[in-house]
Amino acid sequence: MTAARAVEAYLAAVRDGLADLPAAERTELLHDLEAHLADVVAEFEADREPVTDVALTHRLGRPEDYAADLRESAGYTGGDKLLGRLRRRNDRRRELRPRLALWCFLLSCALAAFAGYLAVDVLDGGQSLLMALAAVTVPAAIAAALVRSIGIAALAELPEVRRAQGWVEGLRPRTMPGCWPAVRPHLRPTWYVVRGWAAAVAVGVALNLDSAMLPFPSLSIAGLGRAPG
Amino acid sequence: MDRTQLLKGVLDLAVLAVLRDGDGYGYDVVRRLRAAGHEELADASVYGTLRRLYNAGLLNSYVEPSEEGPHRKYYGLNERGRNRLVESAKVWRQFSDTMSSLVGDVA
Repeated sequence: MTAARAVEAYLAAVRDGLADLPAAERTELLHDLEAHLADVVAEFEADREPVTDVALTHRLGRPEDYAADLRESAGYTGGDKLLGRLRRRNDRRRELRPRLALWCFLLSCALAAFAGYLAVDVLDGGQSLLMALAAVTVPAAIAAALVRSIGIAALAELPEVRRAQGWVEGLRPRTMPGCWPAVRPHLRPTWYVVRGWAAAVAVGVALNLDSAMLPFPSLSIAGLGRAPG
Repeated sequence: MDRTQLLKGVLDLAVLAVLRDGDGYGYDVVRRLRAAGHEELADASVYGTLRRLYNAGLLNSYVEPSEEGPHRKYYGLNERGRNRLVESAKVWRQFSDTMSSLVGDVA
């Protein structure tokens, strides 16, 4: 995004937040904002920082919050409904790309798991595995490209990710830090799983199975019956 | 304590006080307030305050071309603005003395 486009987008978003003000007053306030943005852009350029919508929002706050501050300090009450509507609309727009990245990531995980499931068949020379592996690359590439441009932090801020985080937090036993005796019983099932996994890997090693599958004992054992020679 | 909330109540006085040192355009006033120690200041609230003080007849305004970008709108204190500054400064001093004696030497 070029500097001019980022500035124009910010200006337009603040203008939306002042839509119900008298036209003359709105024009004056937007003139001031144009000058303000020009000063901020000059500062960015002096620091050799790129002028993007994210950088402007970081420096000046979200445009709807800028509009709210401006209204409040200039003495224009009301507009809560208008600003609320703009916040919801802009949130949806801002969340679009992180959400797409999240779903592509989850889809590629699901496809990768499916490919793992098909991997059992690879010993029969199944072509479906190759197709599943090829299919993984599409959403994975989209997710990677999006995360590269918007940053992983944008995903962490999605409401659904926050909800999932809250859910995972809720699963954790509520114990005081440093109370190891209280925590230990809760960890026992994990210990069983780890031991079981280690045992399965050991069996795999003993039977001389394909080493690439060793970390996934269930797959290697499932493939046992078909192992050639 | 939330400094942003505190500042909201005295932003008029802060802006008037800054303009006593000389006329200034919006971003210039923001910079002077930041340099004075109000780093938590929201830029937009300074522009809104200047606009409201101007609409209330406390400030003069004139436009000067800048080398690059849009024209700059300068604001300066007029007679009413200077009077308001003196009144507000009195109120502030009383308020601040009251609070200081109330809080004492806690911190």
